[in-house]
Amino acid sequence: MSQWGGTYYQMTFTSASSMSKLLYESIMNINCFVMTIVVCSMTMAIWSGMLVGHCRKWLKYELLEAIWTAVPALLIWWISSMSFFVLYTNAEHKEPTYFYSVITGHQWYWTYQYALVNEKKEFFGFEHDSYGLLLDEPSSSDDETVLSKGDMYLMDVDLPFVIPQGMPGELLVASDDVIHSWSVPALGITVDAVPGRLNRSPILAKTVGVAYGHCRELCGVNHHAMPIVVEIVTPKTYMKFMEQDS
Amino acid sequence: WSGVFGLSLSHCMRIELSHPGEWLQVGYMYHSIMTMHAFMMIFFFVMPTSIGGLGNWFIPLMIKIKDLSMPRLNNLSVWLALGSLFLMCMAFLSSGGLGCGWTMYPPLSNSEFMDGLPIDLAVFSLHMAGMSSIAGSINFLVTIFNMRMGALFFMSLNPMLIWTLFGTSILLVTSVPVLAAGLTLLLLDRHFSTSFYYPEGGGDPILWQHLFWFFGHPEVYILILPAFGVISHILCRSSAKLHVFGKIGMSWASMGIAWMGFLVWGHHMFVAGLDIDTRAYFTAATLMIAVPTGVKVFNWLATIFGGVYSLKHSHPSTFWAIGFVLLFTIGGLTGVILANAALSTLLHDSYYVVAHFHYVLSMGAVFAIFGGFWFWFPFWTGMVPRKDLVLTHFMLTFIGVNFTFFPMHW
Repeated sequence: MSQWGGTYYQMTFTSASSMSKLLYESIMNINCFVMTIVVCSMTMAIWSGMLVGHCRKWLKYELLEAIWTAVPALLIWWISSMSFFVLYTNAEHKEPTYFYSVITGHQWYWTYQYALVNEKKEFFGFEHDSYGLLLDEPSSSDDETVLSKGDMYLMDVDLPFVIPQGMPGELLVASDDVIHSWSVPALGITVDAVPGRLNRSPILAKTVGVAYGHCRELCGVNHHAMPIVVEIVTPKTYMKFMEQDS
Repeated sequence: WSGVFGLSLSHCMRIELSHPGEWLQVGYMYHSIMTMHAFMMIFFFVMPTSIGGLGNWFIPLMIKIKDLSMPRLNNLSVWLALGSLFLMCMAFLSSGGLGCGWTMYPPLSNSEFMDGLPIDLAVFSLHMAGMSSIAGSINFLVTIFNMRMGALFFMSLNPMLIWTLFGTSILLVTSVPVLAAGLTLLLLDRHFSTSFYYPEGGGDPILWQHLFWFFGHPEVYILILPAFGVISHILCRSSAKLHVFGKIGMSWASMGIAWMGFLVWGHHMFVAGLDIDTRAYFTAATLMIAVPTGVKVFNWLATIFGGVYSLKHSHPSTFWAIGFVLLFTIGGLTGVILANAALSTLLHDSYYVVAHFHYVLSMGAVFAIFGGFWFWFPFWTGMVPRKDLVLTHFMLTFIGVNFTFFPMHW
C-alpha cells in the first residue's frame, strides 16, 4: 500500500481509500493485540517449565477452551461488522453520477474514454491511449513517449487519466484481450478488466492531485510496464479538458 | 516394510528445483521462473513430502498395521507423480516457457496468447499430479476407515497426524476433480475450438477462476493440514505430554478447517466483478475460518505450557515447532486482513498477499516439514544428527525467511 521506497500509506484521495485505510488500521490493532497475547503466552509457556516444573497431566480444560473459542469469535464478529460497513459504503454513491469513464485494458497500455452529458442531454467526449514512458533515446526534442528528466520509470505515462475533483463519477473497466486490473491504491480502487465483461466502480475524489497505480493482473510480458496516472483537477479545468477534443 | 520405506523415501526426495534462478532476465523468463517456482513448491515439494512421504510412512505405523490398504495403487501414485514432474520440467524448458502464473488465468493461458507446448505440458502435468494425489488419497481414506483401532468417531483414539491426513485426503479427493475439469476445459479451448473461456463464444474467463479457486482454496489447506499434525506431534513430545492439549477440540478444529475450506474460494476473486453480497458472504466465511485456527494455536500454546525447554537441552525440532506456532500465527493474522473484501481494493495481487502466503507456507508448511524431518530422522535412519548443525540450519532459515518476507507487508 505504500509506494516504492515508502513505509506508510499513500495519500487518500477518496472516502473509499480513507475508509479502507481506517478499516486496515482497526483490524491491525486487533491483530497486534492477538499477537501480543500469543507471544506473551508463548514466553510464559516456555519459561513455565523452569519455574513450575513438569506439568505433564494438564491435557484438557474445557472452560479455557470455550473461552479461547468464544473470544476470537467475538473479535471476528466485530471485524466483520466493520468490514461490511466499509464494503457497502464504498460500493455506491448517494449522489447521481456526473461523469463516466470507460477504461479499456490492452496488452500493454490503457485506453481512456471520457463521457459527459451536455445541456441537450447528449453524451459527448473523446478517448485517448495511455502508454508507460519508455526507457529509450528520444527520437526528437519533444518526443513524449520517452522518459525525460524528472519522470519516474515504470510509473509515469504520456497522457494521464483526468477526473474532476468533488464530482461523483463511475469507472467502467473492460479489456480488449487478456485479464488486466486497473488499480490505483490512493483512490482505493482496484477493478479487474475481464474480456467479455464490464466491471464498474464508483469514484469520488475529494482533493486535487496526482495518483499513481499499476496493472494488477498478470497479462503477459509487459505486465509491469503499463502504469496508470490519474490527474484529479478542479471541475473548471475538467470542463476545459473535455471541450478541447469534442 | 521395505516397500513402504522405499515409497516414502522416494516421495521425500522430490525436493527439487525449489527456487527460481538468481539472475534477472527481461521478457517471459521471469514469469516462467515465477510460475515454475509456484508449481514446484506446491505440487512437487510440499505435497509429495508431507502427504506422500509422511502419510506412507506414518499411517501404517500409527494405526499399527503393516502397510497401506492398496500398495499397488500407491505405486501408481508414485509413478504418476514422477511422470508429472518430468512433464512440468519439460514445460519449463520448452520454447516460451510458462509465462502465465501458477493460476493460469485464461485468456492469457488460452491459445491466442500462449500457443504451443508449454501450457499443454503443464496442463497434462497437473492432470497426472492430480491423479496421483487422488490415488494416494483414496488409499489413505480406505486404510484409515478400515484398519483403525476402534471406531473412527471415537475421536480421542487417533493421533493428530492421522486426523490431519484424513482431512487432507478428503479435501484432495473432492477438490482435485474440479481442477481436472477446469484444466480439461482449458485444453479443449486451446485445441478444439471450444469457447468455455472465450466471451465471443458465450464463455467467461471468470468460469476458470471459479473452477480453479474451488480447487485452489482447499489445495492450500491440503498443504497446511499435515503440517498441523506434525507440529502437534513434535510439541507433545517436547513437553513430555501424552498427547496434545485438548485433542478432541484439535480434531474438531482440523475437520472444521477442512470443511470450511470449501466454502471460501471467492476471496481470491474479490475484484473480478463479483456481486457485492457475494463478496460480503465470502468475507464472512473466510473470517470464520480464523476461529478454529485460533483454537489450534491456543491449544498448541497450552501444550507447550508445562514442558521444560532450554536452549541447551531441547531437541532441535522443538525450535521448528515453536517457530511454526509464532510465524504461522502472524501469517494467519495477515490472512484475516486479506479476508476483507473492502481491503482488496488496496491489497489484491500485491506483495501483501505474497507475504501472507509465504508466512503460512514457507514458515508454516516448510517449518513443519523440516521440523518433522529432524524429529524423525533418528527414527528413520538410526543415526543422530549433530545438534549444533541442526540448530544452525534452523537459525539460518529462520533469519532468512523473516528477512525475505516481512518487508513484503509494505
